[in-house]
Amino acid sequence: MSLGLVEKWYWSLGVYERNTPLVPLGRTFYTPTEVLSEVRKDTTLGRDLQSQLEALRKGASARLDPALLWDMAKMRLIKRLTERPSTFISYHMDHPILTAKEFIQLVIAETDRGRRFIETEIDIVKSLWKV
Amino acid sequence: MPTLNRVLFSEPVQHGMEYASCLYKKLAQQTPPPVQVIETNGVVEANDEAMKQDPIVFYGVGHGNYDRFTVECTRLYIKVGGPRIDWFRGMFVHLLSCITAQQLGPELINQGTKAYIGYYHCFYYGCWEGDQPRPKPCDPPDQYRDFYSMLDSDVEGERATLLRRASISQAQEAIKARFNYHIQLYTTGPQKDWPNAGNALWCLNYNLKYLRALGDLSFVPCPSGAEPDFKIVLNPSSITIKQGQSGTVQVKVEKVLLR
Repeated sequence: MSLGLVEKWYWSLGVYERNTPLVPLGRTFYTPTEVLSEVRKDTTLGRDLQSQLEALRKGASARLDPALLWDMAKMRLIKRLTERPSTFISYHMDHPILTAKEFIQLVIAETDRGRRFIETEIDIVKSLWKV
Repeated sequence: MPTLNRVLFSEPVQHGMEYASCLYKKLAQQTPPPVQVIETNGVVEANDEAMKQDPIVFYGVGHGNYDRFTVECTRLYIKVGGPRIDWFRGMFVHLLSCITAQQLGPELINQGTKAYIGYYHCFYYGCWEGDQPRPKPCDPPDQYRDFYSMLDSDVEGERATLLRRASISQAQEAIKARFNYHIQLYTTGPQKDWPNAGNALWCLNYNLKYLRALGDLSFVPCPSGAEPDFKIVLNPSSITIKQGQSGTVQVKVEKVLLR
């Protein structure tokens, strides 16, 4: 994957997404801004991130530690709902309103609902690798 | 015996259901004969009365749970083991609600419902940031609020059914495609930098993930729906033939729009 392709990927993402952890490598999560910066500097880390992103775009997430991906998705949800707190509303009989605070609590506690929330975020992460 | 091309829309207007009902009303207005849309205010008695006209489709918005679906004022309407569970024999039941695909949807199919579309977990129809007031029904999404994209995606299934003669499988694909359209707007499209983008994107993905269709997916409830599979645009667009005149009129086919 060339620098040009990394740049194209970077610029296709929204500003908020560029500064949110998206690319896991080792035990660390890198934002697209960090990935692009390292790739531009042509550092060893940059080359590793470049090949990692290329592999992820090709659908190689199966070789990732699932626990790592899980933790990153969880971190992303908590970050977003803390920085951009939204309220969610559904057609559920018993609890139609879900505040950002309640959402975060469910995610941290990894209740059944919380786990489904994290799984959806993992789907989003995978799609963002491929934009 | 349900009547093909006859559709019942249950349109409650309280408890947040006005957002979906607004889109239902628009679709009902857009639907030309021979498809007939019976609209109710979503009250139990009104739905019961409309069901006597033997519609082929029941499309309703309401709060739900594993085994039940409610209508206006959150009054119970369909429940596993309840009195109406076998009222929908031979019909397509589309429930814009939460969790009904877990027990109620399968039980409807067991009781003879031809096909069902619904959601296996919650359907998040809106999200808004901070203290923003809620939008009006049918308002398009803005920077801080989206009470439109998720509902518009689900309604696309009925647009396909009523206007494009879709099978249940095609209706399900139309819903998925519409979800993906809205997802793209928030991912790389013009809405990607909106403050509420991440949370709206999450809602869309969540609903899409848990969309379910059950039963006979090849079933076509409105085979006489509005639009044919193709459209021929003639040039000139109008031709006058006088009484007693005969002969051949030559027309040029300018455009063929394949759908």
